[in-house]
Amino acid sequence: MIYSLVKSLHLICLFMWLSGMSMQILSLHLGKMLPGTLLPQEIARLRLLIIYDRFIVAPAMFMAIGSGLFMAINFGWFDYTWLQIKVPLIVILAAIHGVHSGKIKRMTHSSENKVSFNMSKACTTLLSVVISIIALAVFKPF
Amino acid sequence: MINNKSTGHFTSLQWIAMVEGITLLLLIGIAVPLKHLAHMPLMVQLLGPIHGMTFILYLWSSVNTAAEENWSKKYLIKVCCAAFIPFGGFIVSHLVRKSANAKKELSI
Repeated sequence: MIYSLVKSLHLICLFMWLSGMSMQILSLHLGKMLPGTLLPQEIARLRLLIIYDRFIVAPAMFMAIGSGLFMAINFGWFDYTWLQIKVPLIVILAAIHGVHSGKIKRMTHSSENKVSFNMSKACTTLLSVVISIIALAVFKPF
Repeated sequence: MINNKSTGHFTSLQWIAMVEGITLLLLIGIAVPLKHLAHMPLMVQLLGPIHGMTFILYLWSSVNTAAEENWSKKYLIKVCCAAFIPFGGFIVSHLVRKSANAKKELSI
């Protein structure tokens, strides 16, 4: 029962985290594509995204990691190799989220308005990390 | 490049670095010796996950601040490496406080 509840919470948080990250990538890409400096309306929308990130996406990320940690400890998964590979991938995913979140904040209050961002690189990294994490969690190969 | 807005992210990183430093010290100073010398693994079992979560929070906060403040990669690597060294978190906390104060003075 506890396993089902924690796993559900873990999956819900994971979906919220990943959807937030996808939105970050799209916002950074759009911010880069727009010509000239950002308009006040665009900055207001980005600020809304920052609030959403601070109160929904970041807490979902920490709850996903926390619930994953709870399951790993309680069900003794730390001895398995698949989890030892999965943990650094989760850390990488958290770091990517942190970088994108910081770049969006910089876009709203820096004099430059433009930040360095590569959409295809970001999407490839995100997809490859997420697919690896899902494959490791579902198949538990090692 | 220096931003002229709030220094909230500096304050968060400062506190998170402090907590990370404390949990690392408790882990390697008390919990690990208790486990290996007194055969009491309970402290490691308790502090291990807490330190793990704090470490991820510290890493996330570091890269977030680095991206926002446009830190150099070299400086970010140094800040991240400090998480593995005892008292490193306290040093980062001190440096971040200095940066926040400098930024506040510039914005006045």
